[in-house]
Amino acid sequence: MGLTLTWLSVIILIPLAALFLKTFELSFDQFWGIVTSRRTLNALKISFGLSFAAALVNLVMGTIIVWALVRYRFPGRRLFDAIVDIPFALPTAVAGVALTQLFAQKGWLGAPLAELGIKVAFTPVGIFIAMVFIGIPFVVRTVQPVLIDLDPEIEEAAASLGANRWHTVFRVILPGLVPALLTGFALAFARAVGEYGSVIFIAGNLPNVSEIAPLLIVIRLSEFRYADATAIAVIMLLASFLIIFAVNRLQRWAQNRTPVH
Amino acid sequence: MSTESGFVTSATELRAYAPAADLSIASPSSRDSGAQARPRTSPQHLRTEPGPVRFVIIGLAVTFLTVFVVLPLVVVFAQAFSKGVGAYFSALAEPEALSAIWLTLLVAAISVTLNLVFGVMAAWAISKFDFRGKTFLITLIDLPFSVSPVISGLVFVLLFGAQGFLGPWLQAHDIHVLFAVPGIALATIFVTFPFVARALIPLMQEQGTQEEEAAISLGASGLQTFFRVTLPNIKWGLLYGVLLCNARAMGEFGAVSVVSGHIRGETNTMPLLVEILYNEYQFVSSFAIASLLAMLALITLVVKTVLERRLDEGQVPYDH
Amino acid sequence: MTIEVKNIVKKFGTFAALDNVDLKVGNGELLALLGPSGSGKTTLLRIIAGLDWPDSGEVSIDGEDALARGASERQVGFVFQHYALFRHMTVFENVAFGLRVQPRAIRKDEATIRARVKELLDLVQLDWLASRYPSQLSGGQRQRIALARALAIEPRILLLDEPFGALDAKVRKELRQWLRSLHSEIHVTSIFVTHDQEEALEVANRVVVMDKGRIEQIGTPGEVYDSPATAFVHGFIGESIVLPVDVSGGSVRLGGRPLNIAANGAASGASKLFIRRHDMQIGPAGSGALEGAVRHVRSFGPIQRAEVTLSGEGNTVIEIDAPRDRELQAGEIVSLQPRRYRIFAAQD
Repeated sequence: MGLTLTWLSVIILIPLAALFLKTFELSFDQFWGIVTSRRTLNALKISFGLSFAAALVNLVMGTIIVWALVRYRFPGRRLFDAIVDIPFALPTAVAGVALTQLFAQKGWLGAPLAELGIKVAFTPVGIFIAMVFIGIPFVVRTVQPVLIDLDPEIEEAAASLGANRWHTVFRVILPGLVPALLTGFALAFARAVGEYGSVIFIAGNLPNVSEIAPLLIVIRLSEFRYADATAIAVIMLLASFLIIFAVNRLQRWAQNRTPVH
Repeated sequence: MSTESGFVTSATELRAYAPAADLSIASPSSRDSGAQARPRTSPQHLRTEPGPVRFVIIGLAVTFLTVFVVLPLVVVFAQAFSKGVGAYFSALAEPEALSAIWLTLLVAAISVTLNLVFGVMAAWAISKFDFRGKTFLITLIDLPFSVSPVISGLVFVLLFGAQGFLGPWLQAHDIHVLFAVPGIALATIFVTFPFVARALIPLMQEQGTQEEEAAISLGASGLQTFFRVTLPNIKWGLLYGVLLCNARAMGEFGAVSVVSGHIRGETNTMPLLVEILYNEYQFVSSFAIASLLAMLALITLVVKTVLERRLDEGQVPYDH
Repeated sequence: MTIEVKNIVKKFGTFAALDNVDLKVGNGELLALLGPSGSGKTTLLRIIAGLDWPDSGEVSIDGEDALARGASERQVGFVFQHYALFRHMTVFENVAFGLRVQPRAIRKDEATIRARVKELLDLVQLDWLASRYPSQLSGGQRQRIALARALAIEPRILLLDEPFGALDAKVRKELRQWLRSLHSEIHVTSIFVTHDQEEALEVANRVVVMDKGRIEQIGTPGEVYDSPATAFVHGFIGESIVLPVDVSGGSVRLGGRPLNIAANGAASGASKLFIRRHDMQIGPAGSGALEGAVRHVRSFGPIQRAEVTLSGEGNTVIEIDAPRDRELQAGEIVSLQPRRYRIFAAQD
């Protein structure tokens, strides 16, 4: 017990405390100066903005994938179900180089896209693609069990009340999935915001254009500007705390709406 | 009462799976030889969508997963073998590659062992005891999951770096943490801490304390109880946690990248070497290493699927 | 509205859930489908609602082929065993659902919908719960909301699957009376499924007893209780004493010894004698068809329940209910004479 707490403190608490202590070495003006500098603001904007957009895509595509996996039977269904976990399991650096190679101008997908005049690799679009890749399992794995457990009587009730399939899906089933969908969205968003490995290869890393916040932290560190790195890290950490908090609230909300049998 | 609902449930399952049996619209009239008019909306369609809608949804799902998930995986192997099998193996036999593989295995061994021991202890404390600050402890355990890997690396730089809190002291005593194996191991432990504990907490909570109490009432000591009662009950969950912990430990990039210093042949793990080689346009070498990591991921997924099946079986409540 | 079911067959794999079932339900009836688990009663209800489809046979509602329409077009109110309330909607929205999803051409305006929902919530006496969510209601309240929701679509018929199954005993009793009085108020042709005989006998005006996918008997509560048509019905409804007997040429024998009762036209062969516990007349030794020793007596309320070991019958113990006009004593030898009884051929 005591040992557990000690270990946790050494491994997690003290390092995190170091982060905040370092921040307090800065005056507020210094902190504010770093955080509101053009390059930092742009990096944060790129990270949060693209993460949000990617999480939205994940929300929509994740729902479609869950629906197909749970409700339909088709050849290779089990295989595709397993495939969903690959972004979880594949080391981020591997995902990063693979996506870059795929979407580079001479890549399998990059070449046809280039013909259409769409450039993906080394642009913000590339960042977005990598974030979509990394986030998809979060939505699928959060929503899937909820859809599986959905009581078939609910759909039968809707039908017996005269609802057509469209009404049943959009007024009864999907609203019932909302807590799980939002949780999956928040998890995918949080992951994308902090993502480093799978993004930096494809990003191009042009300051103010395609430079994500985690990369800016790494750059500041390599320049030995620890204070700058720390300030950006604190902002990102606070954002992820907010997201965790939101997810917990969502889960409590979902539990309250579950009928007690 | 209970048997009645049991029957209804099985009938419901039959209905639920009937419509999904094949892609084509199972026309109810084809099963009935009767000449009478058959319904436009049959119960076979009650819980599913019209054929074209199904087709589009399946098509979208399969296309998306193929483009975004399968293709990147295929690219790794295609690139690795693009100059032939010989080039692939000679890339892996480079001293740099071998030292990266060795370092990765070493770091994974250290961090998995430590997280195994402390993960079990943390899960045990959380699920079998009530104490103040328990929620805080759970949050703490979850934290590394929600923190950017770069930040995970950063905190150790702040602690042990030259300008860090312990940096001067470490320098005075000539102890190397940062840009050396201890730093890489620490960052990896931090990042992979939640896996074992997270896999065990729900399992141990579900099992409650009755069996342990029974063992103790029968005269077993604390350690005997743990090794003979608790551990056998959680072994599959434990294996599951260790598996995921190991996969992440071997594949971690962001956190390790920040603390390693990228010293060739010394502090480069496999993911770091993938980056370096890629940036030097040594694509075959880079993807050869990447292919090893990709295989690790695939093996992990297969074993995970098997374990999940085991866990599901184990969770059948015996008192219902 | 009338319902007519003809030659319905429904199989789940090789299991015959319904085996050639015929049933007519008259306008305004309150009918109970009664049977043990697996008897097919819920499947029959679901087929009428359009939630399941028969392998063969016909279903018509008011003379119109119901199988030509899907569940959503049948205008059948269905109350599910576990209510199936939409948990993300308030009570009000649950009840309003059926009105809101009507085709645009016949959909009522918002004010009419609100008035109608209010009316229904008044009817089930739960208007004060309109803004609550289902998870905030008790079981009995959920049951009534599910009923109000089913009534909102002005159903031609109302179907209830184990309407009281998930409730505790006290709430069950209250809701039974409430359902009966509600039915007499709105008078919609209604069918409910139950495995509880007391519920069926107390609430329904006619009872359909089912077993193994077949209808065993259809009749008023009095008919099925007093004149069971088959051995199954006699055994399933009410408490019976069952004795194995042999019938030959109009005489009835128990364990080789003739019983002093008439065969009432029962066919010769191995048979079962069914007697209600309270239909056994107790007299002094030597005066009745059977004789036995009182083993144990418990008295409560207006009756005494005695366990009697029949003499010479391999120590068969039967339980009888007797009025308390003469207190029985343990050890006493008594004679037993069935006042009413039925003999059915032994099935296997």
